[in-house]
Amino acid sequence: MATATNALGFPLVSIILWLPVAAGLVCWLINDPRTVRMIAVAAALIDLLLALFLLVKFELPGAGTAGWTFQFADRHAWISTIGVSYWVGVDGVSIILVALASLMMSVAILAATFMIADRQRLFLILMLFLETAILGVFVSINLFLFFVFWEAMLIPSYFLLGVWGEERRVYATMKFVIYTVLGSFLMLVGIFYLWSQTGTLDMAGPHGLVANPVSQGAQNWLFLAFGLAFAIKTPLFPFHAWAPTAYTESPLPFLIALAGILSKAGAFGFVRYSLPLFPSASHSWQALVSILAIIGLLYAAVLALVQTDIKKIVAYASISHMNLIVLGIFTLNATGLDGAVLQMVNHSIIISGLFLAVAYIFARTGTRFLNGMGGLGERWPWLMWLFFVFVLAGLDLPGLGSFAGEILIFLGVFAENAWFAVIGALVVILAAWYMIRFFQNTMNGPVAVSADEVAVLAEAPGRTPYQYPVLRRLIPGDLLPGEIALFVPLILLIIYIGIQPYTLTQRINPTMQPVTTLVNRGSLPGFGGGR
Amino acid sequence: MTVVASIVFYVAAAIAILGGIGVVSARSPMYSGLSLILTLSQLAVLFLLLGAQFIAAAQILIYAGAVMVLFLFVIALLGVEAYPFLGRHLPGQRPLSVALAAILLAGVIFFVAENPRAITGAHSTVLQSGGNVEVFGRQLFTSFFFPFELTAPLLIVAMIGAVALSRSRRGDTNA
Amino acid sequence: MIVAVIHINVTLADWGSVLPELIIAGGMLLLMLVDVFVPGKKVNLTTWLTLIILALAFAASWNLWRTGGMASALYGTVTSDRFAMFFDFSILISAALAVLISPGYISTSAFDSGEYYALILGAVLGMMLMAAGLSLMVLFIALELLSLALYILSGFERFRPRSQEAGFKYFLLSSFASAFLLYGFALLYGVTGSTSLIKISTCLAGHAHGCSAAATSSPLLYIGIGLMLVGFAFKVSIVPFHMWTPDVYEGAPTPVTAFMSVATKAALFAAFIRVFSMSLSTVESHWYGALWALAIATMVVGNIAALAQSNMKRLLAYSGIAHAGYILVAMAANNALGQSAVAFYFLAYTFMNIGAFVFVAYLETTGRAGDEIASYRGIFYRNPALALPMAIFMFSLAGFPPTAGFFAKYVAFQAAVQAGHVDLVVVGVITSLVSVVYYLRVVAVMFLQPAEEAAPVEQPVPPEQPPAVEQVPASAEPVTRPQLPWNIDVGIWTAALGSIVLGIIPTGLLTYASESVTAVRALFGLP
Repeated sequence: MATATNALGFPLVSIILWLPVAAGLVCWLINDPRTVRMIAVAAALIDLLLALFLLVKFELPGAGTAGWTFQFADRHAWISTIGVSYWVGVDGVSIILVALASLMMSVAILAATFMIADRQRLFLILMLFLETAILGVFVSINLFLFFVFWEAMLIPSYFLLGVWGEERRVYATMKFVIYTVLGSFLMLVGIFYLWSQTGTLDMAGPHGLVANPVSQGAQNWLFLAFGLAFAIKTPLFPFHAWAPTAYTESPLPFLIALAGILSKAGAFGFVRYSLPLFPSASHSWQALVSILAIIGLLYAAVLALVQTDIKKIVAYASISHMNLIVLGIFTLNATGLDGAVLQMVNHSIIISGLFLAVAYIFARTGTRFLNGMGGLGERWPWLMWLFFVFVLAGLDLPGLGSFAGEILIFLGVFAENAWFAVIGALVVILAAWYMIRFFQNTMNGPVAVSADEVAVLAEAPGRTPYQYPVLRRLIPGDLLPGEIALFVPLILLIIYIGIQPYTLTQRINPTMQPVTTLVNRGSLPGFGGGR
Repeated sequence: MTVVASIVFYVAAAIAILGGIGVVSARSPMYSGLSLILTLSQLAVLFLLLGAQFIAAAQILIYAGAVMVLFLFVIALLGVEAYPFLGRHLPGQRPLSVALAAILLAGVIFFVAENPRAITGAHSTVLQSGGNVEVFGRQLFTSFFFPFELTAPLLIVAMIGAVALSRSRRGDTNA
Repeated sequence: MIVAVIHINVTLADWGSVLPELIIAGGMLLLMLVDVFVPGKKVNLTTWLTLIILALAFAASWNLWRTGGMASALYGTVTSDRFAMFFDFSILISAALAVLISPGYISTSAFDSGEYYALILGAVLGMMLMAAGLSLMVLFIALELLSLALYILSGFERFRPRSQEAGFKYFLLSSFASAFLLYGFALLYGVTGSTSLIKISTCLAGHAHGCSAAATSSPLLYIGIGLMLVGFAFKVSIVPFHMWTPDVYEGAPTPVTAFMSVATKAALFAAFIRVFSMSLSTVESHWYGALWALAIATMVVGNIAALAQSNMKRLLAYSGIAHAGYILVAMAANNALGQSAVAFYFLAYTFMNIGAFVFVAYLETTGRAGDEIASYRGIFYRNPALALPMAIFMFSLAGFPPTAGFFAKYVAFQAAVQAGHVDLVVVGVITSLVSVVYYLRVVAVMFLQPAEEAAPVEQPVPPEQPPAVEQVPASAEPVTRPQLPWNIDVGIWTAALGSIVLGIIPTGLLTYASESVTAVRALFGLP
């Protein structure tokens, strides 16, 4: 059984959740672009600080108090006749993802202040709305509330991708929306069914869904209904077809949200809902999902190896790593799950950093294709060295963030199935290969084209160098202070997690332990009392 | 049944049948129509004999009065001579009409055989409570008072519609 | 001589329970008088007058809601229970929104405003009675009242062939449906011996004197139910009786389409529920199968046909058909939750659907072909204040949270799952997925395709003009923010706000909806 408490006596989670929307509505009423920027950035940063405060205040369960506990919970009746309540709170996984989301959204909003010039106010408002939706996904303890936020993520995403995206944005947007909606509507049927079986949609509590699992036959179907939604969002092979187009066509600030955070919502869905609610089905489907994940991570890595568009290289790298995370989740043991959640954080940071680097290169060369690059490092050393950090982190250098995560995942996989571990580990070689290729072809080697020779296209009004179509006006020199400022927190975090992954795992593990107990025994002994 | 009533019944029934024959045998549509009025009016007499005063009145007013007069107007306005095809028979019209008539007759005989009470004149509750018109009036002004009243707005809407649609030029009243 | 005295046993309380209807009827007459006696142009006067009448009726309905109304009044022919009042709210709000957007249309089409508004009120009167009728007689006369007014309103633009066609088509097909319904009513009366819905239900439950014990298995009952089902299906445009809908919606004046697309369905569904789910609830097995098949056909055909539409009014017609299918799913659940889902659905539908029509109506008054979806291209870049609410309506119709449409659909489907009809819900969810494609295509045209890419077809560039000059205004044109007329502004944002608020805080209204259903179920002795 999962319990929920609030040691603060103060609905801080709700404040974190609703602050961005409130700021977005304020921005709606204001016309001055500077004020709008200030409000948006301030809201994102305040949210980040509050999330960090929560992270620090998060009570680490001692040996005796272990159990699946939601802290800082805030509950209000909403529509009790159909099992719907407003219930938010965080466990060890979601607190980390909340902090991560508010960090990445801060970076994205900061990036938007200088990368998006066209209708910036609306862009920022939509980003703030998106932040609330994403945070809502992580903090909901009621399945209906979760679904509302899950679907609500799509609406700002639709506009952010569709209005500010690149050339083939309409196609990419429709594909993205249809895939996502396909998954979530089937999940909706699953939610209806769960409610009709149990009469509640609350996760925690003695009458909650966790404490009252449905029959084994129903679990198998429900697992598919939920799993499809999560698999599409993650994206797990073979449901990933929307992702390369959507990633390539996204404007950069939204891309940070999309690849950095939205994809984590899918993986989070597996951890939070699929595993605890359908434990026996998770076992039945474990092998299939693991195989899909292994195929996916190798397949995407190979594709990353042959791309010439640098944005696509990073897009496929991202998909490959997300499949690795799913592989970690479906070890169904605490080691693999710890590694998977840790890797979610690392993935988010590294991929965002790499996409930022892609954008910086684009803003200087006017192209995204490898054949138009080479020798950029000589010209822009700051860009090269900072980019290099992310490349190293991307190929799992020990001492940097992703090393610990991947080791844990592979240890977990090894415990379940040695063959899976061996085949899966091939990705490490592939990752090193495509990362180094990416770096070599852009930064080293002979200078391919000078900035003056870049083909000059028509200048679209109200666009910055970061936005398609290409401008005559490229950024001439090395990284600007603002651009470096976006890199810095990410790099510091990579190093910090590399040295101190324990800060995260000590929060993740106490949540993953009861989840794995639940999955492996079908019930949670010893936690019946609750608080 | 009293003797007088019997006499009235047989006379009225005979005229009704004659009228019916007239409808199908008359050469001119005008005569057919007039024969039909004759039949309908005699049916009203039969209703009266059954104590169904209201239906008798409705029969005269609506069928013999309104509907048939409209028929005659149409026949007169069209002028059948101008449309020779109207005199022609449809293929198979004659056997079909005989068959339908036979079915109707069979139905009536069957009904009578099943429910002899229906023609032996055992008085229904309606008749016992003081006659058809009164019961009808009672119902109309009690149970069905509200639906009856509602026909008023229905007629108003119909009237407004007729005016609105039949006006010839646009923006007439505003000019 | 015996003098028969009929005591008409109608008290003031009886009249009080039809006060909203009386206000509307009186208003109709008042408008006719104003039309005759006030000289000159009087569009504004009549518009305001109509709005005030509707507001008064709303207040009266609200008062009846507050006091609970009378279970049955005027010899048990009408009721003012909360169920009727709840539907009255939907009907009155949609009428008010339609009236609000009419002036522009009236002046471009040179309507006679007095008659136009009087007919709208006539239709409203019929609809409110439809929702309140407890007797087959009242239901039929109310149906005729609303249909007659709508026939005329559909063909009100007498000089536009499309409108004439719409009016005529609607008249022919719909009067056919009325006949079906009337036959069904007659057979139902023949089987049960009463026109009162309550007496019919007690008869079929086997509790009444003078009611044949074999009534529930009488073949006449089956035929009667079938005929009534056809009649209702026709009027609320359920597949396969939907063919008239797109043509009529497209041809009728847009405010009229807006009004009838919501209010007619609300009224008819209220009666549908009263007759089938309440009065005939004991013989559910007679009609459930047919309803099941109709619901599936309606959802599938409505959504798939909508995919192919390039005209917004036709798209909304098919979308309306699809939504009727979702509502049927809730109705097929045949439980209290399902019925309150229907009631709630219409309130949500009022805002989102009429909102979309407000958008079309405004564009039509600007002299454009306002119902061609292709002409919406890049409208967000020219007129964001118009495009944003439209996007809200589309997302709401497609059923995305946090909008009213999502919530309405959620409750509807949940009721069906509760009743064990998972098959219906699966079809509903899959067809909703299809609907996402065509709703979001409209949004994509408005938002994702900038106007600068659209070649100005209507203004061919004179040949002597150098081509360089024509390119400049396409992009460098200062973004003019056209000011919407205030009535469009109010209409569209009321609808948008309604669509959002009902999605975020539906609790209160959902409670009202279930209270209203409790009232009507109590009336028919259902738990």
